Amino acid sequence: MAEEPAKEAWFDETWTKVHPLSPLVRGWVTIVAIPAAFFAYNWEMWSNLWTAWRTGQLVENVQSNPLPYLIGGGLFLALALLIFVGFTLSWWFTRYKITEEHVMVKSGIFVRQHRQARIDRVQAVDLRQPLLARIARLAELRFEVAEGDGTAATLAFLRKREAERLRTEIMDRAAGRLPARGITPEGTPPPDPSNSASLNVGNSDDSEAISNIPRPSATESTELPGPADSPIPAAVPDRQITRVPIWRLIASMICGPGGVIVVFVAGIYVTYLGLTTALVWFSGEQDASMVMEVGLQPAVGIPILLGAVVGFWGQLTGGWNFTATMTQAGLRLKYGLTTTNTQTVPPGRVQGIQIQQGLLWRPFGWYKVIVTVAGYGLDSRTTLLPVGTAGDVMRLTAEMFPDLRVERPEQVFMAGLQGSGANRGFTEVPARAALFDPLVRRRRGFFTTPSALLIRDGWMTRRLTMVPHERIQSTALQQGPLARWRNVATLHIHLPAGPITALAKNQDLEHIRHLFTQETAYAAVARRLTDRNQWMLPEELAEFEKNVAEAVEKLDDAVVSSAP
Amino acid sequence: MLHSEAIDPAGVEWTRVDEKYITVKYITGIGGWLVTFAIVGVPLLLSWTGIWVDFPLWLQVLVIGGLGLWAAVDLALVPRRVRAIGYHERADDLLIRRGLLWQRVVAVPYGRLQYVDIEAGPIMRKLGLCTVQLKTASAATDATIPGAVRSEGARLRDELAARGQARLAGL
Repeated sequence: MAEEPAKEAWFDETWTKVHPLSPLVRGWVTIVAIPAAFFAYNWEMWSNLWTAWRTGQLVENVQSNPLPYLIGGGLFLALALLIFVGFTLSWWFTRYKITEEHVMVKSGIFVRQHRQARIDRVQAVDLRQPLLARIARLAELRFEVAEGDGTAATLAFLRKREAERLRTEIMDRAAGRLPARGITPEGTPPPDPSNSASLNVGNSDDSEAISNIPRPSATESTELPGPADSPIPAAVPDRQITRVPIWRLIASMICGPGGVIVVFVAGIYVTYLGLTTALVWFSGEQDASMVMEVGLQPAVGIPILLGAVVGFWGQLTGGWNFTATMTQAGLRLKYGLTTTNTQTVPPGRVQGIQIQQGLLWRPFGWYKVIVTVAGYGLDSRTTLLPVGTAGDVMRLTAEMFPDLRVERPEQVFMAGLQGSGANRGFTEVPARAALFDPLVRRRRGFFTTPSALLIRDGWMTRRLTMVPHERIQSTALQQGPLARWRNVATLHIHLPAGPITALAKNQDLEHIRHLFTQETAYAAVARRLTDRNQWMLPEELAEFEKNVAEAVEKLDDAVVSSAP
Repeated sequence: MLHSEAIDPAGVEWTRVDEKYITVKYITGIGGWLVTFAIVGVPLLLSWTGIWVDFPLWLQVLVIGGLGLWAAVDLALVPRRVRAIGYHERADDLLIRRGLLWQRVVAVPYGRLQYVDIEAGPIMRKLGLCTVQLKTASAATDATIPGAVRSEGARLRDELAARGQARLAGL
């Protein structure tokens, strides 16, 4: 690896360097932390040095005994040089390249890393701007890919404008709206298709072989009306779906679980302080020592409060200035207090959606929306809306989720959010199994529409989980001995890793068996259809939806005729 | 043929795993219980030899008796538990069931398969068995067929892989 030819193959001119300030933006903590630690560690020495400097004694000291000062100064310089060289090398060895097929990133000085993401498999593109990057007008691009375990390729950092342009182009290509032409760094002319192969000269990895093979999607895109090399189709104007006012965010945090804990702990504190003061007041000074001893106990509350503060901070940064805009590449979420995040979630990548409402949010009619997108895992990016009204939620769901294809979608929706009992098509836990779910019984149920499965749950915190049938990975029907005794069973819907668990608990056996049959049959329909990677190609989407509709119709007849 | 349980889909004839898997389960089960008894036995031994505190007799009897009964029931159920494992290949998905008291039927669509794993520990290898494991994009899928004969395992893997390729639906 360290030999000369291998080094040449590692990257060539076709690889673009990231912005020179990137290591600084990423590693500023080192720059601040090392000197800070240095100073803090022997604070006394530095202050002595400072007084010596002020009194002019320093010059004498240096003249009489220069060695320690030389060593100290030399060490300091060496450290600075080391950091500088490290940053420069790390910048030099970080390069990216965007080919017809892949986004490729190479990094690492000693341990080298090569990340590549297939563009047509890109699930979502995020643009992040930490505080320092915001000052320097830089941005980080993250690509979430559905392959493997969903590790992301990160380009950090680019000029913000360049990052935005790349994002648009890559999202367009992932969505199939742009023909698969080479994306070039700003400033260089787009390559002629005939010599695009020459781009890969000297590139020793197997991407060369791959990128020279025409992709099926590339041929598909030529079937589009209009010439294949036409520019981006007339841009659809961006529509703002919703924004979260800061007062609502803060109010929702106070009414959220964190707020409740803080109020609870604070209540205990106040009661306690009151009691101890009263005790001192009435019993006099001599018992004060005893009171003081007990008085240490409120310290127990401090970790809880600290935890709440950390949680609050997360909520605050995650929801600050939150706006959701529908662009032609997908839903664009923008938020952040110190770090500005811009993430784009294509509707076709949403595996499941969950709407939640805590007890104290009910009077205000607020909801939170979370999604499962492959690659996002469990992190904070899964929040589609930190707090919004029913109207916000409905508009958002309409954009991000397939049409429910029922008579009155709003009513079904509201029944899922607020309703209870077996009405509007929702089931409930049968009365004979009430002892398993005494409180949540009438809220726990499911509803199937031709396009999605809706599961509602939760007595205090209401939840409505919606999963498109064609996104379900696998289904499992489970029954324990007690459930068998009451003739109920639980259906688990398996989704890719994410914050949403979809399960219909303790449902009537006949209902749930029917649902199991139905879901497995829907899954069968979905997988007979073509891969929907390029989810926004209008013709493809229309074709797909037509096929689904036809297949589902046939299926519904079959399922209905086999229904109990 | 398996007796059809309440949650089994209608009209499904389960393929049972090999009877030899009972032996495997006996060996691993007995091994597990021996370890449990060894761990529980340490304080008791210390107590008997007088090094550690004296446990009252009723506690000793209760612990040993309770564990013994549990072990006996657990081991006695092994054959039935193994016979409760079944799988069935349908046109578009594979059904796997398991469990006596806590039953589970999972349906894994072929199009969702990411890969099929075959593994076999030393005991399984000795008896010519293997475990077929199906992976989808969801970690919750948990679809395994333990104790298939090795040739059947290989056949299943190839068959599933082929069907998965043919019906790949992406994510």
